[in-house]
Amino acid sequence: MENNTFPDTKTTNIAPTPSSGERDGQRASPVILVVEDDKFLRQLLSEKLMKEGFLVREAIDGDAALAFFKKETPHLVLLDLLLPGILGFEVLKHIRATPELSKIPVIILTNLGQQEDVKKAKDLGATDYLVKANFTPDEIISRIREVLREQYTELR
Amino acid sequence: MAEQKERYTTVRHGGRGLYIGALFCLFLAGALFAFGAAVFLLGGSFLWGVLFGSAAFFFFVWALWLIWIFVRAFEEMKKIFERAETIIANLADGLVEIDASRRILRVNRRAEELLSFRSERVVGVLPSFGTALKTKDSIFGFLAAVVGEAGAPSDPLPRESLSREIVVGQAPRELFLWVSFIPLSGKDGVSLGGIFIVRDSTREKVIGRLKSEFISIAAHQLRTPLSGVKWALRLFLDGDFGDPTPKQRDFLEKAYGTNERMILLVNDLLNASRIEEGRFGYAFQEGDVVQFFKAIVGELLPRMQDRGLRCIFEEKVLPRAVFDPEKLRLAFTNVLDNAIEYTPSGGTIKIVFDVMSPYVRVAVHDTGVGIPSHQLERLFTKFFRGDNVVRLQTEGTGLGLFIVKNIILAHGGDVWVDSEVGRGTTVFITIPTDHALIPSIPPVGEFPMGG
Repeated sequence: MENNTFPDTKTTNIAPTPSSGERDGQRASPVILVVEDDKFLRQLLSEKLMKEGFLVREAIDGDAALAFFKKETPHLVLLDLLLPGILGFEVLKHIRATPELSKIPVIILTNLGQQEDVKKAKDLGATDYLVKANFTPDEIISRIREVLREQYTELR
Repeated sequence: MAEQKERYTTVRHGGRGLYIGALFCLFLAGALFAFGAAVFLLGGSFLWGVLFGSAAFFFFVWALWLIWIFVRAFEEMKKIFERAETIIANLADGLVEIDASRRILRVNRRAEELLSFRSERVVGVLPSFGTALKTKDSIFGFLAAVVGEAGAPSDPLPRESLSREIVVGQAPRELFLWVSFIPLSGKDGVSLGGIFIVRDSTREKVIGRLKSEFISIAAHQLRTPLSGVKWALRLFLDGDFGDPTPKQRDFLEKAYGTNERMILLVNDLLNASRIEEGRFGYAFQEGDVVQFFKAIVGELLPRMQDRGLRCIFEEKVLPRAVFDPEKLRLAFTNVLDNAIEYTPSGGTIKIVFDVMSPYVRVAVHDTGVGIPSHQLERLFTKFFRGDNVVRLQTEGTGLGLFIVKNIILAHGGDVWVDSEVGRGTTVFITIPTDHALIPSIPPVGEFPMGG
């Protein structure tokens, strides 16, 4: 796995485990888990992310996200807070409390913009907090790239 | 009112005069009778006797009449007194009466209910304020909370009426009480104590909270589809679905712009409702206002240039001010937005700083359309929009300056405006340089501009 940006599975415990088909590529793309309950928003995000060369996994709610973590470890999670069933906060708590997942950057992408929510998310260990309506897909992508760059060079 | 006056004439005209009059008449009647009798007995003519006798009788009857009025007046007074007592007892608001030494004289039924104590247990009791403060839930704690937490009962009561909200009981069944203290003083200015009016404002509080919550939830729900439209249009515009034709691009841009305005409106609504809920969460820190504002102006510079506006920023070294950067940014951006929005091309926006110890003052001057003078007063109220600008262009939510005013007042500063239609507007903002000037509870509401 010749990869400049992302660490090898053997050297770090947070390494992603992309499916074998994708692993065959010359350069493994970062895997992004999109946790979003709104179908249209999920579709828009996924399309944009794929176009930008990311591998996208989708979870429609908190339960789906937790189920996903049992199978695979993404490079980054885009997490909505208001979800049916388990709230985003709980998912974030779970990620930070699980040793294999705890280092994964989590960008909160939500329409809750109140200071309490931002504070709560940051306190729970969110890497960044974006209000959907105030960011364009491009801006979201550049934040994702920034976070990935910071996170994965730091670990080297 | 007229009827009231009619009813109480006897009482009004009674009093001491009536009493003295009756005594005087009685005395006169007695004197005349005695004199007449003397004259008669000493051998005066019968006629003199009759004359004095009837005069005495006349005064005697008069005296009786006055006494009768007196008795009636007394009874009327008793009735009035009882009536007043009944009214007070059954008042829809709670009432607690204290004398100058803070001894409780009266507690009406509603006050008993609201404050949950029995009047027999507190009336006549002289609260010892030392212990009162420790027993917050008791009537004394309640008095202390309102009249001030000053020590001894010998302290004079406040001379001005004052009001405060107090909360009794435990959530979620707590009561929000709005308590006003009204001092009573005699003609010579001697304190007679005062009364507390206790009003249950729980319902208003709850309704206000529901309203704000509703707006908050509605705004969040609105944001999701707005985000969808925003992102989809953005992807179109960025050519993700193939390059649009110039005409398509033009309309996509317009649709995007409209959607952005909707997002701004929702943001403003959310901010306004958070302000009203008192949940705007300020975090103050010290900083250099000039540099802070310079950065904001820098961000808006491209927009000013797009609209053909000149910007003058007079830099200055000022004392460090105390502010919440995030909130002040919102306020200042709102003010600058207005200046940009309402100044025709070729105009100038000038930002000037000054020291108004213990405040720093920033003035944003524009050569814009101005605000009609008769509307200046309503400038900072919610959803206000100037007559002249409503016709000019339809943008603007009318929430911007409401938010600005609330943010600045929460800083302990003030904001006011000078304006002339057709000439321009200057918005002045003061920001304190001392933490002590920041109010502990941010004032909330729609503040008409005064002074």
